[in-house]
Amino acid sequence: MRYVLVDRFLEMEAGERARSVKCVTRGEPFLNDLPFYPPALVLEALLQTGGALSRAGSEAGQMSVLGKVSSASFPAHAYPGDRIDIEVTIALSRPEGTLCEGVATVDGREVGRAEFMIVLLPPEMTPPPDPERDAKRRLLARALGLPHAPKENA
Amino acid sequence: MSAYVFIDRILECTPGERVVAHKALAFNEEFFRDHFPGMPVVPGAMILEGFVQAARHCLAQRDGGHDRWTLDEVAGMRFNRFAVPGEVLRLEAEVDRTENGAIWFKGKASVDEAGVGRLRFALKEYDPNE
Amino acid sequence: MEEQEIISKVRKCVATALGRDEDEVQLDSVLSTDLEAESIDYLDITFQLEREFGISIQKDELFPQKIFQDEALVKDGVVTEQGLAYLKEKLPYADLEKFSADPKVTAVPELFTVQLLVSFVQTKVAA
Repeated sequence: MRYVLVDRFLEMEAGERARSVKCVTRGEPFLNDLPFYPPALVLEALLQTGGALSRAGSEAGQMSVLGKVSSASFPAHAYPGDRIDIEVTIALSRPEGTLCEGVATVDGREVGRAEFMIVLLPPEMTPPPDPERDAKRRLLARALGLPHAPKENA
Repeated sequence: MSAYVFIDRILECTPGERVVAHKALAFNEEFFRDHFPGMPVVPGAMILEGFVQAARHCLAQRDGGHDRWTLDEVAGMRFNRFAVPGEVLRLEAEVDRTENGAIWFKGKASVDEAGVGRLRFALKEYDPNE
Repeated sequence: MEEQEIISKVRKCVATALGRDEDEVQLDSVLSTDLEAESIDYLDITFQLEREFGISIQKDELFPQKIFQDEALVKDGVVTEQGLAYLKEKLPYADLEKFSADPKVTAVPELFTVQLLVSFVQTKVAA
């Protein structure tokens, strides 16, 4: 399975708040045999939204990785045909990373909630710039509705 | 019988108590293409899913193959190093306690004795008719 | 803020960050050894302290990473004179006497006790 687990960003206030959606469909290979979308991947959608949000508020080209999930809960489930609405806010941010809070709902029903830390990697820990790869990354960002980071060169 | 997409092999299983599983990491796996281009590392949420699948197996073995468990909560999940293609990830989960019908596990992920991450997570029964 | 209140809140922050019970977090607890704190935990502790006390902690202000990275501060695993001066400047309330006798860079994390965090917060909230 590919690993772009957010479909579209509806709102991106760099360093503050982001809203996105993830559609659940049988058109995607399901990770296991449960009738509903794996909660671990609901978490991943929250993390990917938080990651994009953290990168948008940071230096251009910084990579984000998951540092810690302080807590997560999955009170209800998302089924094929559902659209998961995601909202992540940054509670605190520093050069080293961010503390995020995220909620995922389906028609107002909460299917996931998490508090997590995103680490922003220093340049020496990330692969060197690669024009082809960076062009693909920009294409993907555009397809997901992510705005150009103002600090990034087009 | 469930399909364990993220687990390759169950090494040890004490039904209802403890489970140790392996997942071998191959460069060819699709998720590495996106995570990340030029720097393949195993996503934390996939490691979590691996723990969930191993723990479900552990409980199903206790319940005669009947598996009705799903991930309910996660606490303190952290990773101190990356797991990468070419390595074999070892996932060890042990039942810690039961609380309001949820079974809490303590999990340790490692590669060749070196710790990759730790977490606590709870599984709860789901209603098949929900 | 009263010292007792600061101590109690700092212990709560550390316990939350490390996923431990507050009883396990004593004033003389060493973060790295007694409480098994890892690199990600230092970032978490910083966030918890900022949130709990409404303070702003600059990069390297509480946990000076530079001591592990800068060649002028560490040579062959031993903290240099310059490195010692840097530590004295960054951690004015830390007791560096014992450390100075055998200044191995691997012993730096042992300076970080809960008491050190309390002293740091006291300085910040008084400012």
